Amino acid sequence: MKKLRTSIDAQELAITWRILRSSSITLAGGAIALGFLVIALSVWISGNAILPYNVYTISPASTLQAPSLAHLLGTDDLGRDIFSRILAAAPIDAEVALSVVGSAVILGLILGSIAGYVGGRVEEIIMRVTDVFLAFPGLVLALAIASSLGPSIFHSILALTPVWWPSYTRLARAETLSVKSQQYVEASRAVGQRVRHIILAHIIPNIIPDLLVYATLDIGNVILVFSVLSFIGLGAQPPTPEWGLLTSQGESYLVSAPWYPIAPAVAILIIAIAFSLFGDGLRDVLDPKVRGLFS
Amino acid sequence: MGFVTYIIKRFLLLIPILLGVTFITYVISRVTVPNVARAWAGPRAGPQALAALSARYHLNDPVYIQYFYYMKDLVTGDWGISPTTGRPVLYDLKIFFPATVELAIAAVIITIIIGIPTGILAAIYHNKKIDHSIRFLYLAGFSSPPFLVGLVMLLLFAYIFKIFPTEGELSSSLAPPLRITGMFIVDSLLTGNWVDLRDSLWHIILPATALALTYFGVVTRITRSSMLEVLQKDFIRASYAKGLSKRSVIYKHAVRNAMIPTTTVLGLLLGALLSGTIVIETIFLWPGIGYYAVLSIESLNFPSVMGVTILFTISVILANLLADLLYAVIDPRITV
Amino acid sequence: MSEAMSETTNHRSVLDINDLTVAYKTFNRNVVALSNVSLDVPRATIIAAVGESGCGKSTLGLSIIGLLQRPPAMVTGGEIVFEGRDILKVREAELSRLRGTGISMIFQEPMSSLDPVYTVGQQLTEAIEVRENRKQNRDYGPFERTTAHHESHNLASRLLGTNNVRGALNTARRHYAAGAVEALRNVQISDPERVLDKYPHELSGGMAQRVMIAGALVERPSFLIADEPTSALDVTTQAQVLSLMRELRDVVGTSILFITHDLAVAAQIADQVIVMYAGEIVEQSSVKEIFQEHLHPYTEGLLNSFSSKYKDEGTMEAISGDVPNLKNLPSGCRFHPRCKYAMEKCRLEHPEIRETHQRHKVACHLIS
Repeated sequence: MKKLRTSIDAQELAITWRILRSSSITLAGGAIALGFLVIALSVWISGNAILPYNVYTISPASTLQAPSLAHLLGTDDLGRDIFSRILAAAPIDAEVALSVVGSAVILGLILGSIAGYVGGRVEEIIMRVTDVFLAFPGLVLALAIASSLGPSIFHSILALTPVWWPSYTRLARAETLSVKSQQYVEASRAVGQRVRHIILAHIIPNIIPDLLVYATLDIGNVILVFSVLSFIGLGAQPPTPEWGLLTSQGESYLVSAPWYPIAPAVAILIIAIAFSLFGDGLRDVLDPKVRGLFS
Repeated sequence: MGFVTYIIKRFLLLIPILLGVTFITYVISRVTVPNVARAWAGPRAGPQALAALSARYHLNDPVYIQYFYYMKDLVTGDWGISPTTGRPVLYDLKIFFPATVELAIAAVIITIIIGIPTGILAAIYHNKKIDHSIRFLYLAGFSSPPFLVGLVMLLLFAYIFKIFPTEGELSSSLAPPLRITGMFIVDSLLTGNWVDLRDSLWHIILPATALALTYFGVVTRITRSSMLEVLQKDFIRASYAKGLSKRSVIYKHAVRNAMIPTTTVLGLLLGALLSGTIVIETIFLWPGIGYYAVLSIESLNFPSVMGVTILFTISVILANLLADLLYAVIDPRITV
Repeated sequence: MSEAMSETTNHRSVLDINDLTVAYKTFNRNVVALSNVSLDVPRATIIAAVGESGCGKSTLGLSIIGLLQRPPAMVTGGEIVFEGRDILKVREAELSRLRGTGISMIFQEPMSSLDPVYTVGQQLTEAIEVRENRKQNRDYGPFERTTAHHESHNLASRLLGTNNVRGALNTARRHYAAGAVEALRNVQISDPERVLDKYPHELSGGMAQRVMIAGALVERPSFLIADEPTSALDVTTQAQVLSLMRELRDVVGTSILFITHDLAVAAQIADQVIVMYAGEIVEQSSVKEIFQEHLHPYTEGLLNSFSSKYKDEGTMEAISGDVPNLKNLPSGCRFHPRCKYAMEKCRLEHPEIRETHQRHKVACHLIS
């Protein structure tokens, strides 16, 4: 039985912090993930100003230079500093990931809690639709939608959201079902509270934390798929820097300048691992057995 | 319940899913796409061609009529005409599909070869260093964008060490084997064409391994967790009590039981692999439908992209069905 | 001369447990599950171990056969002597060779004790193979390998006529099918050939438990631990299982440690009874004496709460209080907080187990 959360509890937070702190892997992941977000934010706010080099200026004299002290990751085929371009891509990937995950969580929250709470026909319909969306391989669905709408970052967000909302709907519904049977909710119902009120005031606050944990894990996954979209030409468009796009631009220079395509791909790897490790640690935070150990 | 009844039941469950899936592809193809006629006719079509196309696909008719004709076309094999080649999309797909099937099968085999033993090892040495290393390795694989592993392997083994060829299914100096299935390895085997067989095997290793290294975690993870679960069960203890050796208990009893949930993951695995082939085929210039899809995207060939989408999705759905049937075969509790 | 000889053989124990102490490691401290347990098990004897849940009966059984989960469990003291060796000090490979044919165990849930993906026949065949691989000086009875070969081929062709094709093919392949059929017949399973190719989930609980006993019969262990074997069965099946256990004792000469919380079952099956509480043996005697001349207050309490169930008269008397938390044991005698007759001494001093008269042992300050 899940403990019903009715307010933010200082002691619960302390336990959460203790759990996160206990694993150095989780901490490392969390630090990198946080670092990524901080970089993304700073680059975005400063409008690329804080980057060592200008990300768009073409300088034909210094193309395809190997990594050096001046250019930490070398230069690309148009003479642009790769390290700066990789950093510049951070806000773009962050924006897409947060938008997609955010929309998916909100949609999933609404649909899932309604499905779980109301049940019956409504639940059937919502869950069948979810099943259909889940039958598509994620990348393929995003690819189809993105190619129909046309390549752009905004269209990518529109294309990726339908890939993610079904899982959140399922999750929200499952959580709703388990919260629904608890006494607090039964009491509210007995008193005659309206359905909308019960869902908003009781159900949703209790299922949000779990959803957010999975959302954190998914940020890395969205970046992975978005980078593939950009790699094949459907996401970010040149000259906008994006890790997948950078890799595909560098593909032809794989042998002559391997750092060019590989560095941005490694950037994706690092960020994805970080979010995954941190997400695993977060999952422990939700596990009541683990919480018991740390209280 | 009986095996046959189970199969029939599973097939029937497919129908609503297929209907739903085709409805969504319909919406993507004809409803949400801006300028439907242009998208289907291609960027170079003139006004006459556009008009003809609109008439043919009933683009100006109300939605329900349009949908009816869409479904009819789908079922009868008219998946549109590719503006770039002028041929029916389905025809193009038939040419490119076998190569992807071959690559996917090779990747599944390598994934299982890597995934199952690592999963068993990780479970037996639960929480020891081996377990942690294995988990980190597959996490790294999973978190890699599919192009990373592919590019690195290509660089190292094809260009630097020159062990494997850098692209394609077959060396350009050789003639392809007689086309029976379209899969070079299978066809070479069937026609006794040993030169082509060796050559095509050599070509498939790098892309298939790149795929496997990226996605083997799917198999490792479930093998590990189901082994851990099985090792806790009573009958394992009872088997030890009978006097069976540790090897017998683990490999005869534990593994066999642990493999059952592993089959459920086959559908998931194939879905991931197929998504990965889109990228891998592009990197290795492997002439499958992933490569075809990327080419189509570049040339704004919308009908082809939708054709690939439908084909991919149906393949994954069928793979899931196959996994369910396999599960029923392995686990006697389901049907006996 | 021969009488004296048979006397000594009868008195030589199958299993000799001395001062066994087992603890479980938890986060902050170690919980002692068994404290200084000593027990001599003679040949062809059924000893019932009774007590409430958590008293350590299962731990005792698992310790003997070496199937404790280590970690978190660990043996911190004592010895268990079997066939002249302290099996607590023996290496795992050696211990594994003792299991099945030397010491065996059957568990409470027979259905989950059988591997769900193999047929009954396949699993019985395993037991036969274990025995065959361990040629020792044991009496195998009339079982002959060559005739088994012949019989199994005929059996195979008959089995293939069944509906369960997959099961039939699986079982028919094994050469020992005939031996398996015989084993099933020995536990009074009618139509054993059909049962051979059934999967565990197709059996009833009673049938499954009989299959387990069939396996034990095949391997003819010197010592069998039965952990609540009848608790999940209905009364009729229970009676059948109990009679099979008696047969194991009488025909094969196996000694059985019969673990149960049900005193009525113990009364029916046991030759001796040990009463356990909070990880200790508090009373031990022949079954007759335990029921008619019990000495320990806990035994009295157990008997009261059970006899009212069967006598239909008097009130149901439960023993007041709860089983103590092993992390926080009472001082002195572990039972004293719940004991009607508790004295000051009981709180202060832990009573050691003492032999009062012939073969009756008890750990209580009331009896000195």
